[in-house]
Amino acid sequence: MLVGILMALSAGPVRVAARTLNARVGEQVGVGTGTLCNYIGGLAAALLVLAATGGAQGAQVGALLGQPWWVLSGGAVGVLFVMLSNKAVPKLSALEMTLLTLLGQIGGSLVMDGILSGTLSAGRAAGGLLVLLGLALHQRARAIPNPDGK
Amino acid sequence: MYRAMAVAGGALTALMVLMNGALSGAVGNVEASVWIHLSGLAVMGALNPFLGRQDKGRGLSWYMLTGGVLGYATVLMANWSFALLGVSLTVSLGLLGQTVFSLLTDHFGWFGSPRLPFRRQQGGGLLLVLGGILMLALL
Repeated sequence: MLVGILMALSAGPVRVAARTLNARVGEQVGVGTGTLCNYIGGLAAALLVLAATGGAQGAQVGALLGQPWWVLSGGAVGVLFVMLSNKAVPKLSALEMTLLTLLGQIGGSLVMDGILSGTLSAGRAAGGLLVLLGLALHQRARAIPNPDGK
Repeated sequence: MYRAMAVAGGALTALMVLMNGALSGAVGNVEASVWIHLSGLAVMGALNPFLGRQDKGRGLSWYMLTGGVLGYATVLMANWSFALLGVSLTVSLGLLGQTVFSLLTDHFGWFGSPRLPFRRQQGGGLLLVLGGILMLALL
């Protein structure tokens, strides 16, 4: 339990570090090449873990290729996500980036839940609105020392 | 404009969770991750020649190139805690970690970010945000 809590908590800082470092690379070599570097590092790590856990079986490759196209397209959507992130991170504060991404994710999952199940969770929608309100208040408190006109 | 990009990125995350979750369920986490990065690399490699180039390169340090590895590490960490805590708690604790660490990053200007010292006025809005995250976790 404690391991799980520590793991979940520390995934947050690692996420912030990963996206900020990626964006720094993007600033230096361009967003496209920066995103490419991200995927090379990620693939190397993924292959290492695959090898360490015993490698892929032929049956799994078959199961993979038998998936519908939309299940296989997550990686392609991820590219768009990393590129957007690399563009936005240098222009926003770390906190703004975290909270705006969160808002998009809440909105996106509410819409998808609505489409997939035909229901909208009132509690989750209210939680999302509360985050939005909090972010607006926070931005107002931050607005004064914002000389670079973002 | 950049704010809209961040929100759009979040919406894409929701889509990715759905797609990659379905893939992980079908072939296993480790195998799905290899495919996700392999297909992403292929798509990015195909797109890259059409994108703007920049060759500053000088300010690049080796540690900046660890972003992809760290990104992969967050996937493993999330999967690990999913198994122990379930989805809601994992997501909420992750957001708590992200929010606190983002505040520290802004305050101290880590990773070459501009320094934005914390102001007490931010507190009220942040409390509301944390309340919202809590509601998302529990409802």
